[in-house]
Amino acid sequence: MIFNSIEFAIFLPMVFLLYWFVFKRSLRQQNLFIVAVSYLFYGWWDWRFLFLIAFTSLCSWVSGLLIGRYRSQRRIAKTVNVANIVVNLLILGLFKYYDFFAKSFAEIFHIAEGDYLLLNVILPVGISFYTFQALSYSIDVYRNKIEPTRDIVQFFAFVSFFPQLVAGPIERATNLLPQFGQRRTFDRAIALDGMKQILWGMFKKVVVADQCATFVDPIFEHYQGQTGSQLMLGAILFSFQIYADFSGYSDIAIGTSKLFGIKLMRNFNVPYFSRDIAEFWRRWHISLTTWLRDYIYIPLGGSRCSKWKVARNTAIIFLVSGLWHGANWTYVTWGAYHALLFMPLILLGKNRKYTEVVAVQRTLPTLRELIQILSTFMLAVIGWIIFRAESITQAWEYIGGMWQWGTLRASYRFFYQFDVWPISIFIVIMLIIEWIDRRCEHGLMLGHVKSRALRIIVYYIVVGCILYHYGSQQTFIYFQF
Amino acid sequence: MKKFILHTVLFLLPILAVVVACEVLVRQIPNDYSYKYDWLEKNAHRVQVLTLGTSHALNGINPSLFSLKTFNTAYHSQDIERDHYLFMKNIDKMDSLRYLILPMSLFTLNNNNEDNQRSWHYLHNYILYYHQPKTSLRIEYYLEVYQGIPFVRLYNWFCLHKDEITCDSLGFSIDRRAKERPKDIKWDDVGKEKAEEHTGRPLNTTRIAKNKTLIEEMVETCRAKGVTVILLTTPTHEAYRRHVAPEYEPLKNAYCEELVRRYNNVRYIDLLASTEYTEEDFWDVDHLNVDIGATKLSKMLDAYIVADMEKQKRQAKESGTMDAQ
Repeated sequence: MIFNSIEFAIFLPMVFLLYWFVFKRSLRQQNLFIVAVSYLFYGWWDWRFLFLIAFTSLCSWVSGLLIGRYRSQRRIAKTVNVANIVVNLLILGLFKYYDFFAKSFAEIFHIAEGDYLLLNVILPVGISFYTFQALSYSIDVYRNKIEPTRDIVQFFAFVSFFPQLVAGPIERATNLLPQFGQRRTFDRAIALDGMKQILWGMFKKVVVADQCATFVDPIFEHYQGQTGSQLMLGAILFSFQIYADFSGYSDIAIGTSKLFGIKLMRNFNVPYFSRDIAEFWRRWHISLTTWLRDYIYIPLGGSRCSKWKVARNTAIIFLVSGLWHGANWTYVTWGAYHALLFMPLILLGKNRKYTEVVAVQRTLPTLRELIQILSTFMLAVIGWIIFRAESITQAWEYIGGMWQWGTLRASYRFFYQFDVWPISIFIVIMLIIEWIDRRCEHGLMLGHVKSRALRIIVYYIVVGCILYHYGSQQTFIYFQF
Repeated sequence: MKKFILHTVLFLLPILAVVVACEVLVRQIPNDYSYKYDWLEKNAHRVQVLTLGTSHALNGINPSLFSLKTFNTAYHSQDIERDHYLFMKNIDKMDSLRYLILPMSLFTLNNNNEDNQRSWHYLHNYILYYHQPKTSLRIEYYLEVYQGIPFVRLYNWFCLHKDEITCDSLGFSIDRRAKERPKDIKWDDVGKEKAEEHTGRPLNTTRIAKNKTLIEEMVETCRAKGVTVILLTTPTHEAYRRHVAPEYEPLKNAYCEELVRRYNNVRYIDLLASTEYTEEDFWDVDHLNVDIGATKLSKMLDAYIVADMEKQKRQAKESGTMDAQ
């Protein structure tokens, strides 16, 4: 079931009413209800993979109990923790990476007709997300950051909570698990804010991301016959597509959670207003980058070791980040590209130069900040070309093709001819709204709009835009990860 | 909580009202499906030649060029299951029917639009406008607004009075004229793309068996009613044939020839690789243009039908004379 579907529009109100009116008396019943509807939500896509998510959950829950039990015997606790990590990563590896590595192996060793090595397994939706989420629990129990829970229903609810199950945010047990351990109370202001956040997420997904896709897909599919302008346009539109798609999904997930009295972590913090790559990575897919930092980077030594090790650790987490996204060398290359961009900043100790949002006390950025924002954005765009391409060769040819003579000269005519004006206007509107509300959690908080009537008009305009553009549905990009 | 629910309902009510109103209004816009449905309801008893099939027939068979009263119920991507439904729904009213033209493209046997990712796009029209009974939990089959509120369509009809009918009065599509063909069409590229789209999927024995059952049911019904079935493969460009998967053509040919052997009311005309059709006859690699190519094909079919009718008359006369003797 996807968020921008009629099925979800029927599912959500029914779940909301049952959650607050039928199951609110007993915490356990309410959690059990969450598990049931979450499994229904996930099973709507493919019921066979419910066993997988149940197994992952059970494995991590049992590991947590054993780690807690053998806390004083660190060796046993460590063995259980490592075993849980290995089992879960093996499952993830089998479904996500086996065919990729088998194919690469066959190519490297010139094994003719190596197809017999492939398993051709279907990639379960959300496996990368819920696996990492379940792993964070057992690791945090091992590190004594959280007590293991004996309540299996509570734990299953934590892993499978439907708003964030298939595309994040990747929640931490320390944040989400306790929320399933205590009674939730309905807060009208938070619920209303949740509705606004859902609306904003839908706007980004349906109006911006899906409309960008109608241009991006043909440009990337037939990139060899395109002019430099078209390639440049395709790359920029894809950058906005992936941002609007993924952050839109996160907004819908977070907003939906608010309706149930659950607070999820923020996953995007206006990343395209970043002044350097380090700031970009503090604002993009925050749940994944912090997961990698806390569970890989810091255990390897983080920044508190020799410069060579810092460089090594940085390279590792970016390569892992790339690989996490998918089984293709393009993702690994994308990770490596960002590692190369990030490395100088961290080696020079300038990776935490910009921690506040840009122009925090001003309405507009300075010229210097604007140049920084645009430069960082263009660096990200190049990375997105590698990310989107089917192969390294395609990425290379695409990037090369962008810098043809006459690229900028042709762009105005192309802009007009190919009817790119409507989507460009929506992208600009999205950026303006996010700029104005860059200090807020999402774009439709509208705290500065004092008039209630005006706010309602804005909401209706947003709904109208969504309904008008609802047609060209695309799946969420991050579902494939 | 109650206040929240009340405010949410009050906010959503106008939106729901607009959505429902748009759904009701957009269904009133005349389109090809509703036109063909209404036409058949009123005129099915007059039809002597009926054409089913996909856009290959929609663009290729011009009823106005036939000697007999002909109607074209073909439509873009119409699969055998839809053909079967349209035929069985109307056959009892078709007292004058003599010939059924059933196009057999390379993909016909292996195709069912319900397996298609964009099936809503094809199927909802048959449910909404042809009233095809359907039991499915897929809400998109029952709603026009599933793919967005069609403000432009509503404006075009209710303000500008522009309907959505693209066929002529006998169901023939008139929107692919020879002079409107893209001038710089890359035949090989288009051929490769289309061939991949049509024959890129592996053959599915279950789907093929189901389609064969539906075809044979139509053939047997026709035989019981004295109707001759013409299985027709429309002409294609060489650029298309060069790229099709090799297993598709033998499958189609073997089945059509088998039907000819088994049923005396079945004819098979295979124009897939006909040299009579040159580049000027085509709109693209697998569609004829509606003026030159369709005229050629329609006249050929008409001549074939007339000759076949004569032959059947002669045979009937001879068997009548022999009986008398």
